[in-house]
Formats: sequence, structure tokens, C-alpha cells
Amino acid sequence: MTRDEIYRHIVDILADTFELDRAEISAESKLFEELDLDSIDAVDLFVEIHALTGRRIEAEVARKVRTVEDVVALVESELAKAASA
Amino acid sequence: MQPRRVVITGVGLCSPIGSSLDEVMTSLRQGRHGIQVMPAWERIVDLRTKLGGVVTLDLAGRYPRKKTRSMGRVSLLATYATEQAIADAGLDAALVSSGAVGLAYGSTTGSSDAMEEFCGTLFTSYSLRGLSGSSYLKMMSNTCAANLGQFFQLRGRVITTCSACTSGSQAIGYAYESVKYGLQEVMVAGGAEELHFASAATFDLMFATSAGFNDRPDLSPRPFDVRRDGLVIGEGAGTVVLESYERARARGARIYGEIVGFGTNCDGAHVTAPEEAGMAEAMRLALRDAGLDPGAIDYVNAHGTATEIGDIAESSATRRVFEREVPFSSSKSFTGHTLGACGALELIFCAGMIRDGFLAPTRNLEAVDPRCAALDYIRAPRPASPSLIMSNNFAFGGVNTSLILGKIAEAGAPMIVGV
Repeated sequence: MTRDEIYRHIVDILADTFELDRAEISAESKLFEELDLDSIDAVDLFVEIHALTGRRIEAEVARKVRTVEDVVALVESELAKAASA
Repeated sequence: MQPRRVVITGVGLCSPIGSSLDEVMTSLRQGRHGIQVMPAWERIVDLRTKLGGVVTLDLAGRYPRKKTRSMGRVSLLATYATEQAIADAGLDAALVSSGAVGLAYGSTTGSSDAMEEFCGTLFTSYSLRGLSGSSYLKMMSNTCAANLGQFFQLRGRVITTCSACTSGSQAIGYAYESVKYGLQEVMVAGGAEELHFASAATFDLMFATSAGFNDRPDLSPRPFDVRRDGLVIGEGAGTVVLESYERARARGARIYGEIVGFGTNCDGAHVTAPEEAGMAEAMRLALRDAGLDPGAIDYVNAHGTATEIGDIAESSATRRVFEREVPFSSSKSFTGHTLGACGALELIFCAGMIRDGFLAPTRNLEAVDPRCAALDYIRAPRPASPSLIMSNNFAFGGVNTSLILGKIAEAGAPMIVGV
């Protein structure tokens, strides 16, 4: 999956899971401050990322995620780890 | 401190026979039932019953995602009913979240759909893969109270009454006691249930469901009728707002009625089979709490589920307490058995009967089972001016409840002097 494809996938997840308008989502969007996600939403977001990458994200890694771009980078790196595993 | 008189100043509901008080009263008066054939249940192997009492209200998209993501259908129904009740009572948002308003609410369980989502995965694949963070919040036993608390920003006491079919009536009883003894200024109280084949299956396994009228939803359930063959599961939610009589008068609130008595106890015997003695004792406890003789009660709203053992025990217990043919009917003949909701829904129906001046009948009661005790079984809507109504409910676990509702005179003069 290219970085662009990952981004589009993440936007789909955010829009479908959290009823967000795709137009308000950008790579720079802050998940908590701008997209109004909270801790329960974060759990559901990481369930989706788990399904996408096949890898369970560690809590300390998850806590560092702030923006949509962070999510895309995380998914990219997890997919790479999954491929080399 | 003197015990306070407690009145109902707001009601809200959704039920198989309507989702406003006016609508349900029309249904009760016109004999309009809410029982449907459930084609989706055909796939459940060995499930005998195929009837359900369905709430047809469309709640999709009614509330924002963040407020409903932890709600299964049972909590959504409870939210709708509570929203109506709070608006009906005219409670403003500042009061609701001031800490002066408490909450008592129950359902038999949390959302069955969420249980399937959570337990279905976890208990069969032993994996967390795909489990959502909110499934548990939808399925936990206190899901209605937890969700109502956050939805309405209630900050008073929370009493979670999950006592099967007395969940709603116990919530109202304990809320009444909370206001009566000055523990809380205002209480929001009620019960809810979502229709699911899982609850139908529970009763089906015990041969307690109706299975002989699967193609005739208009003919079942048939409480107290000689041809009854069990209960029909239903869904819904009922919420009342309770506050002191003085407070309600001071703010000029409309008063539906006064809760003058509440009794609850436990059979302490069989986990499912009802005990006549325990039922009768709950009714006596409510009468004692109200300071009333049985002769003062104008009408008894029965639990009346249409199971053989339940109908016989309840009618006998009622006869034992009243020692006369007291007017008696079961609203479940209209709605089906709404389990955790029924106690709240039926008390609201009773408030409507006081308001509208009639007694609702038992539908489908053609010939009273000769094993049921001699009572005045109401079979057609009856014009009446009931001043005191007793509403009874009984649950698995041997829990019995009896609530007594009194009319408040138009001019504001209380009908009941109190004790």
C-alpha cells in the first residue's frame, strides 16, 4: 500500500467510524483538538488499525499519535514490520 | 424530617402501542395492540415463539454520535423516553445538571446486540481482534443509567435497578423513597428493554412463551384467559420525573398523580416460580406505606404476563389481599411483556387512566381460566374516575413490587392526606 493509499484508507476509517465530514479531514488535522476524538474513539481507531495492519499497537506508541499524518506514518511503519516479520 | 409527598410531574415513553402518552391512551381505549410476527426469528433453531411487541419509532440519527456511541438499543429507547419526560416536566438544563436531580433506572440486561458483538467474538475465538471499545458499555447491566447520566449530565445519586421484570417498578419505588425521605430533590426514574431473540429464547426454553398464535399476533398474549399459552416478549422504555408535592406546586408544574405507596420484597423461595404469599405481602407493604385499606383501591393494574403459573398466583394473591372483586386488568395484553420496561410503562398507563377517566381492559380475555381467582376482570374499556390505582410487578428472583398512584384534585387540594 502506498502512503497515499494509506492516507485515503485512514480518512475512510475516520469518516465512517466517527461520522466525520471527509472535507474537514486533512493530513495535519489534530485528532483530539480538531476532529473531536477522545479516549474511547482512540480505542476504536486502533481496533481499525489492528485490522488493517494485522498488528496490535502498543499503548506507548498509540499515545504519541496526535495527527492524521501520525496515524498514516504509524500504519506505514507497522505494515513494513508486518511485511518483514 | 417529615416524609415528603411525592408526585409525578413528567412522563415519557416509547412502547409497542405508541411513543407518547396520548398515543398509548388512544391505543388502550381502542384496543390497538403492538404485537407483530417476527420473521427474523425463523432462523433461530428450536425457538417456538415468533411474536414480539415492537417499538416502531425511528431513532437513527436522532442524537449525536458521541452521545450514543456507548448506547445499544435499550439505552437509546431509555434516552428517548427520558428526553420526553424531562421536557414534559419542564426541568431546565441547569437544574438537571445541578446535582439536585438523581436517577434510578434499570433493564433486565444491557444490549443483546452488543453482547453478541463482544461475547460472540471473545467467547468463540478467544481474541480481542475486532472488539470495539464501546461494546461493553452497551452490554453492561447498568448501561441505561450510565448512558442517561452522561447524556443528560445528571449529577445526583444513581440507583441501578436491574431486577429483571421489576427493574422499572423498583426504579420508580426507590426514586419515590429518595424524594420522600429528602435524599434527592428530584428523581428521574424508569426502565427499558430492547426486543431481541435472546430474551425470547430465555422464556422459550422454560416453555413460558406463546407459540400457538404465531400467525395471529392479534390473539396473543391472553392474560388470565383459559386459552392463554404464554407471554409475548416486547420492548420499550418508560421514564417518570418525581419531585416533592410542595416543589411541584411552588413551580406550578402539572401533576399527573401522587405516588402514595411502594412495597417491595422477595419471595426467598424459587428463582422463577412466583409465590402467592410473597406477591400478597408486597401489596400489603404498599398499602401500609400509603396508610390505606385495600377497600380504597379503585383498580389494580396486574403484572399479568399470560403464563399459567403466574396468572393463577397473581390473581389469587390479589384476591387474598382485596377479599373482593377488585377491578383488574393487564396492559401486557397490548404491549407484550416489556420486561425491564413494564413497571415504568404500566405506571405511566395508570397515570393516563387517571387523567383520561377510564380503565383499560385485558385484551383477548374471552373466558377467565377457572383456576384464576374471582376478580373484576375488565374486558372492555370502562369509563371510570379512579382516584387510587395499584400497579404490581413480579420478577425472576422472587422480587415483588407494588406501587400505589393517587389522583391529585384539580384545585390542588390533595386527595390523600398522607401518613
